[in-house]
Amino acid sequence: MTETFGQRFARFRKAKGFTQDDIANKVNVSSQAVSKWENDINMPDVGILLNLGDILGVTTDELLGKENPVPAKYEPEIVQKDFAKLMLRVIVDSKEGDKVRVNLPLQIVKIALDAGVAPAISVNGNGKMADAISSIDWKQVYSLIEQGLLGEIVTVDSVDGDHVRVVVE
Amino acid sequence: MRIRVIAPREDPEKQFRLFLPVPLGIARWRFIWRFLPEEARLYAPVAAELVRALKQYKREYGSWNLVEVKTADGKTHVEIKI
Repeated sequence: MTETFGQRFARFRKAKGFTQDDIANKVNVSSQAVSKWENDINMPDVGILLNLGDILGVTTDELLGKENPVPAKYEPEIVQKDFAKLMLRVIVDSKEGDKVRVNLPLQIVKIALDAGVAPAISVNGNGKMADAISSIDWKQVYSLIEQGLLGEIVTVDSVDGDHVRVVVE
Repeated sequence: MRIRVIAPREDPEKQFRLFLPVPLGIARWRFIWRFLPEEARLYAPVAAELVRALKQYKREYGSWNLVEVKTADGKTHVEIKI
């Protein structure tokens, strides 16, 4: 499930410990307006969007979810040509707003898998998330990449609000 | 490999910054792995091969951030750059 602007904005706001009123006061709008943003009824104006980024300590791109990678697609020609260059990115956004990015060249992933070691990701002791991640068949994932799969190949959104994405690019 | 830790403070004079250049080859030293979490220790037997692959990737495609961690409160930012 893709995170909407409202959900993303609410996540950043809560991570900073601001109430809707706090945000409303800082950007000179009503708290109802902020509520409408979070319920995806309205979007903030461009000028306000820039201020919001500064207040929440995120870039406008992050606020707009532009960091979201492209959906998975098969590109066998690109993969064959640039296989050594490809990077496996593990993107973890916790519900508290913490961010972890791990960028592993595919060659490294191959060495680890050949040695019988699969990537392990633990999110704040979130058992369900850890179970979901550990149930990923990394060898199968690697095999799909070898066949040409690129983009966002694994997405795990927990009910607690943690997000883990695995992207090949 | 460079490890960079930044802990911004409101007062710029009190800002904590740590830049720690660590030779990539250090990963081949066995005793280093003892201090790492158990998950990381699984990689010890293939350390030499991993280091070789990391160096080769850097030589061909340049530096990149292996790990980047930012806390939500903005108090800590850690990067491990190869």
